[in-house]
Amino acid sequence: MDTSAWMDVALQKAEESLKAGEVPVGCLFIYNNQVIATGNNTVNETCNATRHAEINCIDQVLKFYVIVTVEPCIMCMSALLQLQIRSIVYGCANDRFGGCISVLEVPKFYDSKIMIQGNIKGEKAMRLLQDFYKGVNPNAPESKVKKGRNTKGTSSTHTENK
Amino acid sequence: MTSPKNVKARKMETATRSWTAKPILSSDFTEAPPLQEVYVGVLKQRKDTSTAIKSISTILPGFAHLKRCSNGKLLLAPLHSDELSREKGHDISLGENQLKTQLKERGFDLSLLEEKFQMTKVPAKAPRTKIQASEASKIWPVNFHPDQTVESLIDGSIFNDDCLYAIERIMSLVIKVARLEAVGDERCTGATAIVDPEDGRILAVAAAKIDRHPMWHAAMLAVDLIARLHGGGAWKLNDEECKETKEQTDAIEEDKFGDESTDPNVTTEDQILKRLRRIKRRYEEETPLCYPKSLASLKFPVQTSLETQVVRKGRRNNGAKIENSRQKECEDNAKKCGPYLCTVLMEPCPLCAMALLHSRVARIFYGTANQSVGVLGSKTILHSVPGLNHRYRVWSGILERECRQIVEEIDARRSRS
Ligand SMILES: [Zn+2]
Ligand SMILES: [Zn+2]
Repeated sequence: MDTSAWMDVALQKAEESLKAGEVPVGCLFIYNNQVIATGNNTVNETCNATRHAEINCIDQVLKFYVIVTVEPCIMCMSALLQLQIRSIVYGCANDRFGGCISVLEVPKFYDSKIMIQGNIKGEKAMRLLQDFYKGVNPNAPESKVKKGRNTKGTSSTHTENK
Repeated sequence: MTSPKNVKARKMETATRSWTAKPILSSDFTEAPPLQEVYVGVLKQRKDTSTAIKSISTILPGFAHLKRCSNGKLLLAPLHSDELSREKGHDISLGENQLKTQLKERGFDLSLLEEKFQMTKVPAKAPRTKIQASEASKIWPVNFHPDQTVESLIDGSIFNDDCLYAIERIMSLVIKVARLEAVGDERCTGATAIVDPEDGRILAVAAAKIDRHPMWHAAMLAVDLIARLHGGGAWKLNDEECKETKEQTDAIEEDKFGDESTDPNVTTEDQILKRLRRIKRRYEEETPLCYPKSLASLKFPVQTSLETQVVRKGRRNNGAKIENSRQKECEDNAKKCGPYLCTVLMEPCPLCAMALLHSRVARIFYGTANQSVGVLGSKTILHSVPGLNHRYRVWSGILERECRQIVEEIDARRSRS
């Protein structure tokens, strides 16, 4: 990671702050050598003394939404809710473990306002799973091939909006 | 080992035990069985009873869980036919005359019965427990064969005193760990121990540390410690605290690489055996794995087997006795928490409960209920939800008072900080 190159970018953000009459601080969140959030102070703009560059970045990363090919399981749903993810878009339903609606409606335990949308290109996601459990992939667990997870032709079609 | 003195000491313990292990069972086992409305024909003469039973059972089979005739009353048919209703898409009830025609058409001798049919309520489903059966038979005599496993869960005889004492000692450790280290929130907090029931070895102990990572609930950490024991692990637990561990991990990584260098998709018998042997060795040399590391200095309870009467055979994966056909299964188990049992301070949240389910834990013992998001009894009973591919057994109430107290203590600590 080239910290000094990234610092140049952060300094640019700080300069933007200065131009806008804010305390000149810039901030970047970097993951895998990519910027995932940028921020500068917006205390004056917002009349809120807490709006430091870092807080603005945090708000940005918390605004991300999750795109996942299969409905998250109960565990992952609980994890996502604890992280206060705003929105989840998934492909096919997860009849085995689904934590949005299929097996257990986890959001209702967390009185959450999360937006959930299902069945976006669900057939394709389902086909991948079916191929995996049919044993096309050598890493597929043997027992599950027989059990045939999600292979009942149920590319369940429901759209959840909560 | 079992000197008379020891036995006496244990007896004392029994007498003073302040808690009971309450099985968390699905409502199928705990609720009063639902009732359904049925038509009943009154026999004119008792001597016709067996003729009538034989005839009605062939014409309108069903009610397998009930005695077909009781006190001169013959069960004829349900008032609401599920089958018919499903066909028509709405609730259909069977009329008395309709039923009479049906019976006559199929050759039932209506003259055996009084002219007017009666309507009554009978248990709709077969009772699952002795308690349900005795409740149900107050309404109508039932056919019931108790399931010994279920009964032993309900009456507590599944555990002997040694076993309960061992569970208590593990929970005492969990309480100690929680008091020292747990950082959770109101939705999930406390500590977890994962134990091999065969020899009672404590494999992993962890305290919640959500101040360090939002997913670091106690059970999530414990599962990753077990993964580490099995040659994996996702989080670099303790590495920042202990250089030694890091070196150890590196050695393990190398070891692992050596094993799988040829083709990661092909696992030979030899490789599996090697791996299992290594796991076995780690069992002996490295357990209990602790997070945070400082917990290793605690005094751990002596090992006692926690096997109960109802134990599946041939499920061990410690290398010595694996058969060819079970290789894959063994290998799968080695990635999970196999037949282990798990002791947690507070009823797990959905994250922890499902993590333990994915990890194939066999039994969970918890101390106190988690009113806000607990899914092993409070908000729902996860292990009775249909469709899941693994079921663990769950008990609550282990050192309940002490556990509740410590949860309050941790809460107070959090609000102070
Ligand atoms: Zn998941
Ligand atoms: Zn949890």
